[in-house]
Amino acid sequence: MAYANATHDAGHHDDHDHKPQGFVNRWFYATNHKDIGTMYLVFSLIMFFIGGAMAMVIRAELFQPGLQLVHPEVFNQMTTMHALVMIFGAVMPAFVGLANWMVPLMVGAPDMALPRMNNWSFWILPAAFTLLLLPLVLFFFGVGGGGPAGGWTLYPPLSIQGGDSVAFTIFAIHMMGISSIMGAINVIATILNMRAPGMDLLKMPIFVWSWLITAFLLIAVMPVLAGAVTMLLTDKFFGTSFFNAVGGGDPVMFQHIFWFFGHPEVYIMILPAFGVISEIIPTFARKPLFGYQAMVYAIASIAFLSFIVWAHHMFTVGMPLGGEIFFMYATMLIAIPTGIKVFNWVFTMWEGSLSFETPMLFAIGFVIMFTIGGFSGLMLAIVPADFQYHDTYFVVAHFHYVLVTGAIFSIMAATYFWLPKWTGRHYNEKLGKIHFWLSTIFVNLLFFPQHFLGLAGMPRRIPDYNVVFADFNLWSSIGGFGFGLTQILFAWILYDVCVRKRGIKATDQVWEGAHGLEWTVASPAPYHSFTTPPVIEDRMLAHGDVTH
Amino acid sequence: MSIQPDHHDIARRRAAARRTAAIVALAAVAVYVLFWVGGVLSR
Repeated sequence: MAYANATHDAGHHDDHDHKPQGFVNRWFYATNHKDIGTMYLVFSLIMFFIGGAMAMVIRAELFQPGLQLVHPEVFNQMTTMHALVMIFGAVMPAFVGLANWMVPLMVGAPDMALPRMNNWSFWILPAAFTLLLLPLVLFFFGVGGGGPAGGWTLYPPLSIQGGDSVAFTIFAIHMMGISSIMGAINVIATILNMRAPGMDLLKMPIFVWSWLITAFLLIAVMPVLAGAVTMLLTDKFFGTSFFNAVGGGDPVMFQHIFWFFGHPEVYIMILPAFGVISEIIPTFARKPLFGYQAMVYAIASIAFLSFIVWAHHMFTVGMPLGGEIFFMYATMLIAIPTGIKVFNWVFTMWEGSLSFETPMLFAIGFVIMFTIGGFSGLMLAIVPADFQYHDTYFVVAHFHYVLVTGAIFSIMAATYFWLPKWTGRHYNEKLGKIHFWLSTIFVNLLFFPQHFLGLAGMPRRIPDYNVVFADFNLWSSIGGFGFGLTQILFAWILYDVCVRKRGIKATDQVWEGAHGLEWTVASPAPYHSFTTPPVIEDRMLAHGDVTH
Repeated sequence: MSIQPDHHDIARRRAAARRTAAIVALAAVAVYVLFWVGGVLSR
C-alpha cells in the first residue's frame, strides 16, 4: 500500500463548517463548488447507467443475426440516445464535476469565481435530460412516436423526418450547450482570476491546464452546435431551407458545421482525461511529471489542430482532392503532440518507484488502450482507406477505445484517486482492482472484435446483419454484458465508501507520492477551503520547479 | 521561492472574474451569431 502516513501538517486547516441547513438549501440553492461538483458526479453516474442500459439493448439485439428483441425503429433510438446520453450526460458532466471539485483546491481559490452561475450550470442539466429522454419514456407507455432516431450527428434530412422528438432534442441540446458554456466561463474566470498568489500559470497542475484549454474549446464550439441545431429547427418548423436541397439549401453544409463542432468536442472529452492521467502517474511513480512544459504545449497544440481537421469525418461525401489531402495530413499531425504526451507518461514511469493502486491501474490501462484508439484513428485519417472503413464497425471500435478506455477509464481513475480526499476514506482496494481487471478484460472483448467486423464490412447503426458477422458479434455482446455488469461493482464500491462510510480513514496527503495544494487540506476536504489564500512554496507544488 | 499572501481582496478578484466572464460570454454569443450569419449568407 502507498497510503500516506498521518504525519502531515494539519495546522493550517481552515475548516469552518457552515453548511446550509436543510436539503433544499444545501442542494437546490447550492453555490459551494464541492457540493456542485458532487451533484455533477452523481448526475453523471446516473446517466452512465441509463446510457449503459441502452448499450445493453443494442448488444442484446446484436447478440445473434436476425431481429429478436426490439423493433428496428427502437434500435435506431437506442443508438442515437446512447450517444447523446453518454457524451452530454455522462462524460462531459463528469469532467465538469471533477473540475468543480478540484480546480479551486488545486489553485488555492476559496470557490469557483461565479458560484451562483455555477448553480445554474448544473441545474439546467437535469431539465435538459428530462426533455431529451421524455419522448422515449412516453413511447414506452404508448404515447408518441419515440425519441430521436437519426443518429447523434443529427444529419438532415433524416434527423428532421422524426416527429415531435426533434423539437425536444433540439431544445435539450440548446440547454446542454448553455450549461456547458456557463461552466466553461466559470472555469476560465476561476483559473485566470482566482489563483492564490504565487500560483503562476506554469506552476499550475496539468489537470488545471487541461481544463483551461478545454474551456476555451467549449466557448468556441458549443455556440456552433447551437447555431446548427437552431437552423435544423427552423428548417423543420418554420419553412427555411438551410439544409434542404429542394429549397436551395445544402445538407452537406450541416455536416461541415456539425463537425466543426464535433471534432473539438472529441477533444473536450479527452483533454481533461490527459490532465487526470498526468496527475495520477507522477503520484504512483513517485517522480515529477516528465516534460511538464511539453505537456502543456502538447495539449494546446492538440486543441489548435482540433479546429482544422473536421472534414476527416466526411471524406466520403465528396470534396476536392486538395481538401482531402489537407484534412488527411492535418489529422495525422495530431499524432505528434499526442505521441509527446504518451512518451512523457512512459518516461515519468521510467525508473520510478512504481506501485499499482487502482487509480494507477486505470491510468496505465488508459495509456495502453487509448493509444490503440489513437492508432486506429490514424488508419481512419488515410483518405483511400477511410473510403473502406467509413460508417463501419471499425469506426465504432475506434471511438469506443478513445472514449471508453480513454475518457471513461480516466474518470474512473480520477474517482478512485480523489475519492479519499472527497470522503475522507479509502475505497476497498481489493474490489477496486477486481473492478479494473474485469473492466479491462470485458472492454477489450467488447470492442476489439468490432475492428474485424468493420474491416469485413459490417455497417454501423443496423439491428440485423449477415450471418458471416455472427461470431464476432457474439463475442462482442458477451464482452458488453460483462462490462455492464462489472460497473455494478463500481457502484457498490462508491456506495460502500460514500453511504456506508466503510474504509480506512485517509490522511490529508492520502497517497504517499501526492504533491499539490489539494493534498494540503484535510480529508475529507472541509466545506470551505482556502478562505485565506495559502502560502505557496515551490516544494508544495507538483510543478513548482519546471526545470526539473 | 515563498510568496506571502497579501490579504488580497477576494471581492476585487471576483469583480475581475466577472469582467473576464462577460468578455468570454460575449465571445460565445459572437460565435453563435457568426455561424448564423454565415448560414444565411451561404444560402
